[in-house]
Amino acid sequence: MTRGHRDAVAAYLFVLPAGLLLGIFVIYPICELCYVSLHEWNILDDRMTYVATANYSAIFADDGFWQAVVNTVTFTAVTVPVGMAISLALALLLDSRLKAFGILRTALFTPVVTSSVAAGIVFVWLLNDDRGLINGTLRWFGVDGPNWLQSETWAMPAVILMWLWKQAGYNMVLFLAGLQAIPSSTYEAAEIDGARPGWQTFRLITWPQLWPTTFFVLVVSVIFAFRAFDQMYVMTRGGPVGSTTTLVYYVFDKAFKFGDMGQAAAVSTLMLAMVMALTWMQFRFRHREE
Amino acid sequence: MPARKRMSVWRWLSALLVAIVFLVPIWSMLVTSLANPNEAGTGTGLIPRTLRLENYSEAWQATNFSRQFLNSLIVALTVTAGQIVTSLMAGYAFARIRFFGRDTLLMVLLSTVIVPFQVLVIPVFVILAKLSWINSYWALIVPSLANAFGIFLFTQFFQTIPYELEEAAYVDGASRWRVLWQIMVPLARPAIATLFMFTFVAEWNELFKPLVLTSTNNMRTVQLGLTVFQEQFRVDYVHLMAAVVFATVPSVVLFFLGQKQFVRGIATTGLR
Repeated sequence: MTRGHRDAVAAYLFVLPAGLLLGIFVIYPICELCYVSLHEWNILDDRMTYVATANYSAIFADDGFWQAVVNTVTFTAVTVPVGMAISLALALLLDSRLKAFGILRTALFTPVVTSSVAAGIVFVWLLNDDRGLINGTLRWFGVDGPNWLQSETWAMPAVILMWLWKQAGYNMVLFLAGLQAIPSSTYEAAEIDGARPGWQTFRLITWPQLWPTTFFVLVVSVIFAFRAFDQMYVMTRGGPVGSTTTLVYYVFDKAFKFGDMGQAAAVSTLMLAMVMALTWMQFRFRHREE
Repeated sequence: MPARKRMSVWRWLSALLVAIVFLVPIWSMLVTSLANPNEAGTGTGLIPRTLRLENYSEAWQATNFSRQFLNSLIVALTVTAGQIVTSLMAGYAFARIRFFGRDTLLMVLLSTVIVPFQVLVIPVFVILAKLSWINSYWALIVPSLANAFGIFLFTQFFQTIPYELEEAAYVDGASRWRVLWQIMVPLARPAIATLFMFTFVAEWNELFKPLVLTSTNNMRTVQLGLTVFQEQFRVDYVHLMAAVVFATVPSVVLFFLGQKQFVRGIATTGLR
């Protein structure tokens, strides 16, 4: 064998473990998922019956599914823009070489590494109707806070609040990296040209230069929000009355509570299609920009 | 910028205020975890009145936490080690060796990063059931042993290392395998540290996977055990917070030890 051949063999062997694992546990399951979605199959049953698109029609006729769609869209539509605004503000505020600011950045990042289970339980405590810190603070201002997690209206805002707290530091780090990549000479040039520091500099320089980062944060945030599950499981179990049941939660209930694997697979397939469409759109958009 | 100096007092104050607001939940958790169980009903738990350390041992013994800690450690450490090895090997090949189909293969493997596990849970469950792996360490470990994030990280990293460092070894007749482990791996230590922290923290904090793939008490991981504990101790917030504290400690400590790698990892790759 020549050197080149030996190298190629080595390369295939090096890629084999990762390739095999991803093939078996990600790529093949995509096909299997579509297959299951076309069959009626209960988890306790060995038999699968081909039913064509019956699972999809059943889901489209289910109010619970549409509620999960609405909840997922609401959750994403609120957490993404609000979360991004908070993180950008934090990044602008804390973008400094001062050591003390580094400590503050660490403080803001700590929620990111705590588990969503731990954070969820802490927020259940903070949101407790009469003993919790949040309603206690509201009472101090003369406001009678709602019974957050038991209320169909307030459970979703409560989960969103916890998510914003937990995720803010993550996007802040991405924005900080973006801010630090803007050359300081750009700012100096703008100052010479008479741009006033503050809002004008931000609008004319920071915002346009930061755009690639902002776009990236947007995509990542949408993907994260789209697969939210843990927070709801810990804080509300999807309730009350399904008011915090997201699509992932809906799949989880369908598959592992009711055992209806076929319908659960149909919902998962739709979600997969959505994730792929999003990614494709992002690619297209990026290409056009360049 | 000089203007920033003028703003600095306000900036200082607002930065401090924001950090305090963000730390309130964590502070409240610590204070509550040390409160006297009988008087936790009074006050909102920001001013520590007692430092009752027994809460921790009581919470620890109230359920099967030592077994759950062991399970989480076994799973997190094995998955982390496995991901580092598979990613190092694949990353080296993609960055350094020319072979047929390389770019396509890399693109296919990297694109798996967009598919969340939550979406594939049904087919993965079916595969694991066929292997009779449900409710075992195998189910929690094997599907996570390779990850696109790690492959991406090492492919990127190895591309930045100059060729000259390897060349001498090839002249001496060393194999690709030896060059990878003896020359490249020691150089890749910062990237390895980054992947270690990311994967360990992610695995330690994982809920969905053990929730779906385990069914008995002795296979539960810490996070899953915590949700069960939460159901049992619904109103006993003192012991609940104590349990939350020790379930959180490992990932937070790891983060404090390796902040730089952690933050750099997010900033350069953005996922996880």
